[in-house]
Amino acid sequence: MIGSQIIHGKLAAVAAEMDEKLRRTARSPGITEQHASATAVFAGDLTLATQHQSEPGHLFAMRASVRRLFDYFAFDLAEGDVLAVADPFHGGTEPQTLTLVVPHFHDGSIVLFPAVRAPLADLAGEYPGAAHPRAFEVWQESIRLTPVKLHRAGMPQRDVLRLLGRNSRTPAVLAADLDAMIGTCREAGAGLAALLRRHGVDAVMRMTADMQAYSRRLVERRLAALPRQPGRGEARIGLDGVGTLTVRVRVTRGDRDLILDFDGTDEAVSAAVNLTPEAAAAFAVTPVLGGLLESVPVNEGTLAPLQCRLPEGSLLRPPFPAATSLGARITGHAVAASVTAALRAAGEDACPDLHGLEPQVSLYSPVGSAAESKLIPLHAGFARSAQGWGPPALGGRRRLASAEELEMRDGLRVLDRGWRSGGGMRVRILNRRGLLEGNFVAAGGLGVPGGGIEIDGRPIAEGVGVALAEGSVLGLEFPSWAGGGDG
Amino acid sequence: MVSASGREVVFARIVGGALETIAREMSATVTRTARSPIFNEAHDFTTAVFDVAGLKSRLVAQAPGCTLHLYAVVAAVDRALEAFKYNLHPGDIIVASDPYDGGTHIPDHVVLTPVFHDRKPVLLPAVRAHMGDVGGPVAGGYNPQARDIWQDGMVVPPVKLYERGEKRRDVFDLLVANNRLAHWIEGDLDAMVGACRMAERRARELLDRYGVDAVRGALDDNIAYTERRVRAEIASWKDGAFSAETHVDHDYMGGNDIPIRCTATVAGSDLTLDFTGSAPQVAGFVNSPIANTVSFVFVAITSCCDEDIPINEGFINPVKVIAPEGTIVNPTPPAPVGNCTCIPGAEIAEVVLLALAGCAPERVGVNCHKLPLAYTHGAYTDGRRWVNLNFFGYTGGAGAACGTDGWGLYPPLMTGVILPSLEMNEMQYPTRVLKHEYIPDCTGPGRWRGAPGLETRIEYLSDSRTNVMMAGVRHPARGLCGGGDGAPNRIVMEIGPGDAREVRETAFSMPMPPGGTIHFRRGGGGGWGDPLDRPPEEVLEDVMNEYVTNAAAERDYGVVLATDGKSVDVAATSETRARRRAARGT
Repeated sequence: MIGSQIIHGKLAAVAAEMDEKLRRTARSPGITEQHASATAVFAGDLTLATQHQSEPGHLFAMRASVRRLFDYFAFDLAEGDVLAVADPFHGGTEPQTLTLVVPHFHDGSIVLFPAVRAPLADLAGEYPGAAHPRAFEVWQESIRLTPVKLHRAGMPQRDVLRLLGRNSRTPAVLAADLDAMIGTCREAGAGLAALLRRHGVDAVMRMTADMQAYSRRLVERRLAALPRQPGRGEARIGLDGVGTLTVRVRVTRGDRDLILDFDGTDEAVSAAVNLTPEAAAAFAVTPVLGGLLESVPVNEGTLAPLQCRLPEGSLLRPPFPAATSLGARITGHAVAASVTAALRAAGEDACPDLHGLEPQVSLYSPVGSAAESKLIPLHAGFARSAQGWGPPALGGRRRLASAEELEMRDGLRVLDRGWRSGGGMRVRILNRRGLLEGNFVAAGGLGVPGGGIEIDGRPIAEGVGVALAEGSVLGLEFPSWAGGGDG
Repeated sequence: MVSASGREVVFARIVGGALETIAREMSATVTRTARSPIFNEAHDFTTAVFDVAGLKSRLVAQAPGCTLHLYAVVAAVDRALEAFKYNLHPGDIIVASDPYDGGTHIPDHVVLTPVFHDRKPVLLPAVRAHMGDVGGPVAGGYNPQARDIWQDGMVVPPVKLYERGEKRRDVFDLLVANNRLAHWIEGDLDAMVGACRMAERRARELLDRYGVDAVRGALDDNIAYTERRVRAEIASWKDGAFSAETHVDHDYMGGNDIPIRCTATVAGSDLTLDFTGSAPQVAGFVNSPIANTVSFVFVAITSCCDEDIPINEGFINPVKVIAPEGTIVNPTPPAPVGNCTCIPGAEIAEVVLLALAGCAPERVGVNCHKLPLAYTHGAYTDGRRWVNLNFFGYTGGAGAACGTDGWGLYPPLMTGVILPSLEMNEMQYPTRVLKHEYIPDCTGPGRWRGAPGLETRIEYLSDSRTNVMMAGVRHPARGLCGGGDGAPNRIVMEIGPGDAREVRETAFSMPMPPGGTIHFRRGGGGGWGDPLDRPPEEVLEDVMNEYVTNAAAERDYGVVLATDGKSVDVAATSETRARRRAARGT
């Protein structure tokens, strides 16, 4: 077991180092600041050896995307290949989030290989960035990057890379991010090769399997502590122009597993808040695992005992070509809240609220004004978590942009940022950058008034391409989830 | 006995004819194997063969096809060669549609393949065709709300579909995945690829039979012949600089009456067309990438030349086009360009003709039409999507030329596009064409009148959405050399009983329930020459054919009909015309 822990520690270190390298070498704020990426090492049988993630949404999507890639390129893999996919309907979570794999060969076989997953700044679509509150089809959100080889047997596929660059409003950032992802995987591959050379394939794989079994036992132990009695829960969110959406779940504990059945959840909608099955599963199991995700090695064993049943055609398994760009940021919270409510209904007390909707804002230079757009995915504040401090756990490990950064880099002056007496955070930002446009959405529901967005005192529930003039003041109200919602 | 030069001429025509046959066979292959009605019914594509010397291609043969594609494909082929200059192999098949890299608007994709001989590419068959969808925000690829190129759709810079004969499944699937009409585009791309492969075989046979040098020599001769003919044509025009201006109605983003200017300078057998003075690029999707601008320039020029001149690079050589960067005729990225093949394509051709009217009045005519684009999209009962370009609504609009009235169906820029059969149209789409007929008094009067206008009513039988991009409303098709303008276009959307809405500029994604109709009133073409010079009996015939009413015969032509309405009142006509000529001093 000690040997297994050492090997797993090394694999985890490889994944953690990948994460660090990626953040230090990429350019887009989604990776460098919001830390919305994940790194992983897979075994040749496509089981997850270890995963390092800063956002819960990647939990199942990393594995699903990697499996889609290997399925697509079955019998067509070579040393030096770089595979990529960024498509909600190919194991993804939301458009523009790219999974990149560098298959690593050891004596002609794929034994262990690295993968990274990260949001790209822009892959075309109707508006800059990923969030499009009014999208009702996937093509409006971004191009669909179905499984594709970026490098073939070590040769960069220049035409494919050119195609990606020509379909990005931030081509330089995109190229840098892709380089960073490829470089990260290549270095990790070298580390894995050294590991295999030093310990031998059989030993490493045996110990990896041991750690997967260990993680599984830990999760099963957590599940065994849950009440036997099934619990039901539901959560509602409200969106301007869409109405109220309800997520319903029935949580049933088996002997060694947990079934989360979302039968009864509302049908998919013609809006961007649908959630892919992989994202839905991630948000569903996060409240179950809770703090365990921080302490248990995340690998195949972690995921195995958790089963999600997501009805076909529902909000959580939408039919092609549904839009999904805001699913994780909005509906994901409802999924987590519904599971929390169900666990509590079943009698589980140790089940803190992890959700916490926040207003979503992305700013950009006016559409059409430049060949290379300036994108500002604005994270100038955060909601107060249900625990009363820090942001909600589902928000991941995003870094709050400092006032200096916002001013120096983005031309946005923070006029004030602080806690309101009611508990939420209020931020007011003066636009000194010239004309900007933005996509905005402030979803309500889950028992707490939704966050608020206003421009020069004028409230905005949602909008796309909304002008933010030079000198305008953008006000953001982040709610406080302390005290809880209705789940 | 045939002289050496005579033998060369004959051989040149044999080779030229062989390549034209290849292009025609490509065209037949596409028609017979493509899936989308835009290909197999409307024939909205063009096939051509190029030769290659270094990184420069030359158009050497073409099949009768959609003219607006023809010259646009030239730039696309060169850019594809540039993109793969170190990495081009036998069996490669390239697809491209990048408005800022040799393309026009995104739906028009080019597929091409190099034909190698002795390790070097010698010939390049190419197909250019209009895809029914290109992903992006709006089904069908025409987004009147587009503010940048990505709101037009997915850009496809030159990318290999096949490498050394092997299909790149990932690239192919990626293109298909970014298209709402996957069930069409898959077959359409295969049809384009199949046409190129067939052409490659034929071209190789040609090269094997005659040898590269002989074929190249023949092509040089053919191009030189065309160039001689075109130069002779230009040389027959009056030397000097001749300027003209026309206007684009609107850019759908608030910009109105957008000027396009052209100065045609004739110096011997050289022609320079300078668009300096045209409007800066605009916010809406009516910017014309340079390849599109050049394409429409040649649409206009070819219509001024004898139709027996072989279409090849020789047409291009005597003409220089100056289109200042940052203008509507040569925008910089990321300006949207989605409607450029309609607007300002038509205006570009029109202003060239207006300018050339100053030096070659008897050669200009058959002006491009200004197409009121209204296309509809929806889904079949099984969920598959469809896009119908409503081709029936666009017929008519051809201008007159010296010596001929404007004729029906499509004017030159759409030559090769055919009207789908009504029966096939109604089988392929949930639609019914209720009316499609000429209407009186919608044509530009002249010594030779424009084609009559048409009224078309198209009913949709299931839920659908329509995007309308009007053109030729305030600035209808212009008459030439004293001819009158065509009538303005009109479109009325009849959403339901008592709910008829005229679209003056644009309608975006207008929902129509079953039974909703689109009512096109297509303005006719512009006239050529003084209407008072039109023989009264020809005016009478127009009246009999109901192209012109009695009142318009008198108003526009000064032709007074006898009280029976079936003959000309010769005396009254002479008097009316004399009075009018006197009034205007001619």
